[in-house]
Amino acid sequence: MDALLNLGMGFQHALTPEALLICLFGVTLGTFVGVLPGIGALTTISLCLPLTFHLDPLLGMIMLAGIFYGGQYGSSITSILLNVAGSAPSAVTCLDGYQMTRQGRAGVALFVTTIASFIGGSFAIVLMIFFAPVLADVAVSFSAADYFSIMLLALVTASTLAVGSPLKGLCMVVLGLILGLVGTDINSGQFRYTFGIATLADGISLVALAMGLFGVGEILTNLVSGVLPQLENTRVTLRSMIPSRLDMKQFWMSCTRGTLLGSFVGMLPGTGPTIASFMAYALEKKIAKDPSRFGHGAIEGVTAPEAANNASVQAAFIPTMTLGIPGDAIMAVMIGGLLIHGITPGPQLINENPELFWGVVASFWIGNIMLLVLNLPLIGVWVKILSIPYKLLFPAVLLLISIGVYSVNNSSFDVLLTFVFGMFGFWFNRHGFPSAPLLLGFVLGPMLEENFRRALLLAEGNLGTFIEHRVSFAFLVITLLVMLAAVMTSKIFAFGNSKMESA
Amino acid sequence: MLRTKILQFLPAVLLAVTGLGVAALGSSYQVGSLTAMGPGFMPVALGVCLVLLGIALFAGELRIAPKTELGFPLRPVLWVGGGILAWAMLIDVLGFFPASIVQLLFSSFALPQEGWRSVLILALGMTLAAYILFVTLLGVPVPAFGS
Amino acid sequence: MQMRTQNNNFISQGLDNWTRGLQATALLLALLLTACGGQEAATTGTATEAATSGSDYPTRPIRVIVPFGPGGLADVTVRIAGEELNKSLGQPVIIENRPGAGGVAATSAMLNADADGYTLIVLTNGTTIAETQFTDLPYDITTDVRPVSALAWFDLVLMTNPESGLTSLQALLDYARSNPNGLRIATINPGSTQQLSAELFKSKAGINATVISYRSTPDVLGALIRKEVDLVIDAYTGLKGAIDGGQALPIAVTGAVRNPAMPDVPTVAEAGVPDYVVTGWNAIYARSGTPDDIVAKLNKALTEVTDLPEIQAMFLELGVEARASTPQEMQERFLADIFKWREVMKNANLAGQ
Repeated sequence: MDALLNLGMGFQHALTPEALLICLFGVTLGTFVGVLPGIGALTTISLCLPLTFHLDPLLGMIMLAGIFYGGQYGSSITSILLNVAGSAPSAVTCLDGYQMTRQGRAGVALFVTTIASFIGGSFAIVLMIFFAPVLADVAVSFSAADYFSIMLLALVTASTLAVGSPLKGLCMVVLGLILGLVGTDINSGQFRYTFGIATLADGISLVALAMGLFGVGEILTNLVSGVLPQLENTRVTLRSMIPSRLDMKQFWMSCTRGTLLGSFVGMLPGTGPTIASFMAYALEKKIAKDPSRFGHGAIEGVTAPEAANNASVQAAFIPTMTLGIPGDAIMAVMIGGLLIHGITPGPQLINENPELFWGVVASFWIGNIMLLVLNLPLIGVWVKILSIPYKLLFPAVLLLISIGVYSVNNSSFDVLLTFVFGMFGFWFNRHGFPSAPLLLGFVLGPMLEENFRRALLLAEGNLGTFIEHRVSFAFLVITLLVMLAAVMTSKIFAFGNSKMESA
Repeated sequence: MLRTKILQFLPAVLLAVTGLGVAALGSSYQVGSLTAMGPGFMPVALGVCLVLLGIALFAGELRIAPKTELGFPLRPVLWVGGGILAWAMLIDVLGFFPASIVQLLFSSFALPQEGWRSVLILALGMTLAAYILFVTLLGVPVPAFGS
Repeated sequence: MQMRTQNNNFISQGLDNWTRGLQATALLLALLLTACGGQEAATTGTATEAATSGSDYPTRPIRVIVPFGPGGLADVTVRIAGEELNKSLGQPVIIENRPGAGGVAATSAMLNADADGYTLIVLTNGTTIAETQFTDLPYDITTDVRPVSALAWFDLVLMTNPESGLTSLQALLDYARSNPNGLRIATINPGSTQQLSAELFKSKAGINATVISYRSTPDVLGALIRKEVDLVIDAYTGLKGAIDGGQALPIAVTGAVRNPAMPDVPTVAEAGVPDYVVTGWNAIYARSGTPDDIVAKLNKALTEVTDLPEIQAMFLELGVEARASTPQEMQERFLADIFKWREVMKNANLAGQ
């Protein structure tokens, strides 16, 4: 009940006209900027951070948070309509979202995305209201060994992300892991594969990689295939957005799974929404009765990652606000916004600045509702993007990609990398190598290595540490089961079947 | 026929060679052992992995009849790639407007266009819009012209 | 700052909702306009001819490049000081973040501009480490830039988990000596001041210790909370919340004198490890060749700004001391730190590359 009383106070602070207005400003800006490829929530928040220095801390946080989840939502629009990742986490939405667009179901895809995002976000907010301190303690108690095992499971499921040859998918995972090696080794400080280029000491920019593969690469594929994304019927009626009964059945289950997964991943410091959305997609594919539907417009392939994405984004606030331990880079920038006002997030934040904590929590909900109200009517407008002739649209998108990638680090070298990865991604795609596993391998690789080595450093070289930690042990068992299942279904059974057929 | 064969096996060979390079470079860092990994352990392990995968791919391709040649679509690749490359090269030297206009003109040529007028209008209009959005409103630090 | 007070005022006046809504709109518009205005001014500024004489300097906005992303300690301190500089110099001070790669991107951007005092850079003690860490930098930081003035000084804090019973530096040293595996110290990434300070601590205290690297300050804090490590060495700013919340216990500070934010906590030297001192700093630098009178003018302005009571108070809140210096003092400090960290890296076998 305490939580509800506090939440009531939070709403008092978040429902003032200036708070509402700034929240609306945040989510609107976030959505529009999110739609632009390349320039994701992190860039926008970094760029807008100075604005908050002049604002009341609560208003500043509400604005940044609004940009954050607005941007997360907006970037899925680009993925669904143009097959160009609006940001790294929504790259996975391209896989089935764009196929839905090609089947004339763009309206449905955007509709379920909006609803799934809302559900995912709302669930994580409820978690935050009632369980924030407990959950934060649990999340922070995960050791290096636990992290390693969780990441290992993520990686094993990642190899199933691909449509087509599992072997080619595996190649891309390994290639992603290798690209993740580039930069300074966190354990020893050794520079690896930097070739004397100082910018590479910080590693390859995730945005540059994602935009190369899921931006430039996909545009080239479109251009070459001759099948240009074009909407025959530009009228999007309300009816065309309403999912069918079958859609809804698949929607609820996948949305629930995505939400739970996203909330869990989001709470773990250091993970972030890219891992959440990719894992949710892999999970859906793993448990689907007919995995072959994925990559051909399966609605679960859109709802689960989007629910997970938004849930993780909201859940990331749990360790940030209660322990001062930011879940990802975006959270770290937002903490900077509080620092300038002399507020350090930590366990005492809820007690010392209750109006800030609960005001922000309440504004999350208000912001999510605003997103819903703002975007359902806007779906028709977004779909109209497709009525712009593609030959005029794609040069503009390419320019936006260049600027977006540049703005992350103000680095033209990153744009150069986008060029390289674009060419690379396009060529490999043509030979049946998928891009999604590469991206996930890239994100997970450094965490995997770093935590493995740190765990052994802490355990003085005892490999048993991965079994002694309970969480780690549990995840290792699950990983093993997933691998066994994959081997059983793909190799032995396929072999047995073909034998029977020929007999 | 030979060209088709080369193209069919090229990805596998390329991956194996990349793996070899990664492992070779990686072994120049301190490798260590499984329980006391140096910075070179993962690079070598992953490089070897990629080599093995490359070989497996190659073996797999041997059993598949060569597909009809995919062909290499030079025009879109050159213009789109050239456009991005040009933007990356020009942005620090000539500034936002020249770089963006050049990129838009370049990439427009990737598809047959009806007339140069719509292309020119797009280039100028888009550049201006992008400038207002990114530089004026969001404060991305790039000069309009010059370095 | 001005806008923030306005905002607070109209809340306290208890105006009716409608007017408040209107004012909020005005506030937002004003924010946007300042943002646009500043930016436009900056871009038109770069197009104008460089000023040759310092007598009327500055006649256009001054750009300060920060080699870190927004929100960090260096960024926040420079932004606070920048606003006061704006008032005293009569020209906007625009902060430009160019993060990454040991400051190479930022320094290169700065060296591309004219040596006219309109493009400045923030260098930190980290720069003096990068000098040894990066062997093939495209510039020579000791000759390509000239110091204007220091801005902020800060020490690092040695912290333990309060539940560990290691409540003093002496207890920690005893524990380290009696434990065959020695001490576990968590710091942020290799090549950071924090990590090198840990290595220095290890050698000065003569103890057996493993320094474990983490990706960020919050990761380091997490490791301390779950008792993965015995000791954390990091700046006060990022851990203030944890200290106040009782998750981390400060047992010593690395500065030459005690930290005014925690007057009860002794320095490392006082508590038993003599001649161990680490003080981090942020300082403003200009390109070499910037006229002396311009540097002098900037130095004077920065000295006045750092002396302001409100700046002193705000910096203290962040756990740092606002203090300017003469360019000569800064130059000596810079070279001394390069030497100091080079020795530490050599002893700890952290070769440059």
